[in-house]
Amino acid sequence: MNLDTFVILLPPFIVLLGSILTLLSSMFLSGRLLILIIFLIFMAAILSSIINMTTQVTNLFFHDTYLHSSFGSILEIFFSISGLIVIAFSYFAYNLRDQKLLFGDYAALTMAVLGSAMILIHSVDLILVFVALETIAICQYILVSLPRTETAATSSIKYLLNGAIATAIFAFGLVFLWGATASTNIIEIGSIVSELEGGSVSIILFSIIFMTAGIAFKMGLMPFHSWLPDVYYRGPFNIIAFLSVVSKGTAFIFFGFFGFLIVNKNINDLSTWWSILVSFFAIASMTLGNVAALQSDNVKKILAFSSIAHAGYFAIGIIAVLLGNNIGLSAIGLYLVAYGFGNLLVFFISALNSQHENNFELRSFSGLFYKNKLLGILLTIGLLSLTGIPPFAGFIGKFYLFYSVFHVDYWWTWIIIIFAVSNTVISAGYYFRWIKVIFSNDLDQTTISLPSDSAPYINFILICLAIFIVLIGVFPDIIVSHAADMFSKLGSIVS
Amino acid sequence: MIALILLIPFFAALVIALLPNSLEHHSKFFALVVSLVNFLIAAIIFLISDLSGGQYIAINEVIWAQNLFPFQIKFSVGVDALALALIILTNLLTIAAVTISFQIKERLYFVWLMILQGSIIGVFASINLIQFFIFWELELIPMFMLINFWGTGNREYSAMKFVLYTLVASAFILIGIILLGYSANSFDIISINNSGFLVENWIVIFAFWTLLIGFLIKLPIFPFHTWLPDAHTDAPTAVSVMLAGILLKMGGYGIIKLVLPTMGYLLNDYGAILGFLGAFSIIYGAILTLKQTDLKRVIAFSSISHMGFVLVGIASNSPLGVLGAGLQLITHGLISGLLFLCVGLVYERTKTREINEMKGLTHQFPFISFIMMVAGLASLGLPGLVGFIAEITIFLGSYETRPITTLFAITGVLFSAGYILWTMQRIFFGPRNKEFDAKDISDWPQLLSVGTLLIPIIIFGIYPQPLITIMEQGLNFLIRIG
Repeated sequence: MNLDTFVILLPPFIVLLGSILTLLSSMFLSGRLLILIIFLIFMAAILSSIINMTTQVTNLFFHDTYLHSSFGSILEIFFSISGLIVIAFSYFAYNLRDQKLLFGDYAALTMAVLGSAMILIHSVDLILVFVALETIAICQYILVSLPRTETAATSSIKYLLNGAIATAIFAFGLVFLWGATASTNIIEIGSIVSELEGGSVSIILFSIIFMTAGIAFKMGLMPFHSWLPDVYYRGPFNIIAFLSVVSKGTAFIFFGFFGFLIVNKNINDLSTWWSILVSFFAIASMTLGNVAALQSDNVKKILAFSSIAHAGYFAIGIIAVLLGNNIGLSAIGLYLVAYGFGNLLVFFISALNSQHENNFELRSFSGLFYKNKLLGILLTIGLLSLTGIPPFAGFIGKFYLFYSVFHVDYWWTWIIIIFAVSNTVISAGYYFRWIKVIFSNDLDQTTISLPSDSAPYINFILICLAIFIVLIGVFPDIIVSHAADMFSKLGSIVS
Repeated sequence: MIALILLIPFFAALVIALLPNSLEHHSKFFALVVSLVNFLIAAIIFLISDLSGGQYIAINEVIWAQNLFPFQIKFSVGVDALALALIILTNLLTIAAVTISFQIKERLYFVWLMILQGSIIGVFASINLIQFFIFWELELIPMFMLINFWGTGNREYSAMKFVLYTLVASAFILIGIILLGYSANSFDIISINNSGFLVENWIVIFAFWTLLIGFLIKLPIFPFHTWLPDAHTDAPTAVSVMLAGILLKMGGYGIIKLVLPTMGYLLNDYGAILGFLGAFSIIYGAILTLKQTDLKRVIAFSSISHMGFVLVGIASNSPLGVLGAGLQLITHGLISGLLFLCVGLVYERTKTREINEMKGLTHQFPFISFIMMVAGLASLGLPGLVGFIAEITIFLGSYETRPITTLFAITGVLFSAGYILWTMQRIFFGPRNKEFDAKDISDWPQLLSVGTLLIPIIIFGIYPQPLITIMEQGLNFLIRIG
């Protein structure tokens, strides 16, 4: 293994080694110094991603188990940025001692999840996929339990049990797939699948259904969503924000790549049935998530259910990929960035708003705009972006997803689009209700003041998120151009 | 130049938002100056450019997204005669809306008003469908805020209803736009109009109906009209002026701009249904108007009735009918804007909008009564005022192709004469009911506000040729393609 190929692995390695370094140094370093080190680690990771993106071409590495692409690099950068933001926000906004969250543990686990996520989105071998998925999952079980309260423990146990079942189902499907094709390499499986006809499809379809179910569990898609509201409701805000963006996001990106490499534009019975299956999941999640969120008056519940609904939107991109439309994958990437930043912004401001009285009712937001103008405006931006109102990133992300799935030859894609746009309207119901509360005038004269020594940092983080939202909304090409670049080069590698 | 008109309102909104607190009470003057300047620029563009070919002029474009879709997306703004006419109308109405709200002190109100103006101009100035849709949606936010926080009565309910109905309309339009872009392989309005459709017929029919339903909700046409009376009733005066004057016109503009050029031939099949829907909307709106006791609701329902004429004109599928529909967009914008201004002025003085509580207002407010009479007469289509010219053109055009629908629609004129005259009689004439503690208009902002709309109504009523010319130029592209 020469140095050149090792460079490819640098971003995840930096973050994973940084995780260990953070864990060790947290024992004797002060918090300030620790956050500086974490900042430098992430900066190094981002820098190496940028170098990889510009110098390395799309190719397979390490005996065809690792697919490097500039699209993957841009997602690495997204994960690094969101990880840094989550850790920094938790450090500045939460009084960590009160929260009983040991900052070192928290940061180290978060970084371990991020490093594994970076490996997962590149891996094209099912063994590597399984290892990365499990690393992410186990770290998250611990993360959720970190506050060491009874509710957090309940939530963590529930997450662990459900996650274990999901893993079992996924592994079950994986074994069948290996048995049918005698390969764990996704590209090889794809080329075998493309030559299948008739009855031999059924065993592969069987295994694919199991794997889809396992992944759908992690993503919180409708029939496998039952763990999600409970975990979200009980878990601490900063960790849930991280879960809802990074862990779900990786699952979607992986699923998109998986579908893309297996189907690879050879539409046959398998991909048609597979896409119909995912279509059911997508429609069910969107509808259930939005209708349930509409009836809730609790911010945590609204966010939990809206995250189920957003999982449904993501699934639309996967359907597009399964029907042979590459831009579905770029749409997932774009929507992940748009949704990720919007969701972080909303989660963070909700956390700040309810920090003191621990009140998550919607009416605790009343008059937020008059209490703290900046927070009010930023929260409105985040909510509008999640609704999908231009010029914010959520709009172009949704538009792109809906555009990508549209396919003349498959009538059910039309139904998906109709459901998706109707759900956007339903979601406006609760998002606009929230905005109305923010601007409502019935003041209870309390003001929200951030802790004075960390207020500039918190404001800076939140403003950065809002700028990202507007930037991606106005220049979506930043994300998408790399995907287009990848597809043009990948064609020759895969076939 | 067009990019300038588009950017000025957004820039103004930003500046007003950042004004120091000591200058907050001057934000209204700033908004007024900005809307006057914007109007002047639009007027200059109109005077110096040659619009006769029906093509887009003053195009500014930037490459926006190279890789997003299989084809390039440009951010491009430009106008043809139709769009320019509607932009000038927007600017006129904004002047009126700003001057009528001079008693409002909060800067946020004017910030939202400027954003509203900017996004409406954006809708008319967009050559790209995605950009069109972006501005179409953007208009929601200021409208929601303005109705929700400066409205009266059941304002929160109405604001939410407005948002949800508009989003439903947007959802339909979004599907239509995706279909258009997918089948023409471009989101550029000009190239879509040139290339036409590349896919099977049933998809075209689907796109036709989704776009049409979206625009009909906005227009609004029975049975999608129920949001309008509520939004109007509870909105502040300036927002009612903008809503009736220009927001409804976006629906008509969308049909003329997006549906007719590429899918206009489908009107041979479905024009009868649409024409009937339009005629029914005219009659239905008129009958409901007769039953209203709230002055604002009277005008709101009369708007539904009048927008029915637009649909009848478009559905007639004859050049003259579409021309009349285009004229109706402009004339109804002026007339309904002025009517809502007058209602606002009356309400400010009498503190009531119930028709039964007013009587003989002309004794105390002769000037307001005079203006509202002019606007009302224009609304019922009195020759010599601007409303007549649009309606007669629609009827002439529509009678060629759909005589029965036209006859049905013409009865709407009788109704409108009925409700306008009856309402005027009840509120302005007769013995004086009681003395109100207020004066007739005398301050300059309100005079300016009323004047900006009254003058064009009279001028174009007497000499409608410029209006007809600009509309003919604006609708040239339909003939060129058809």
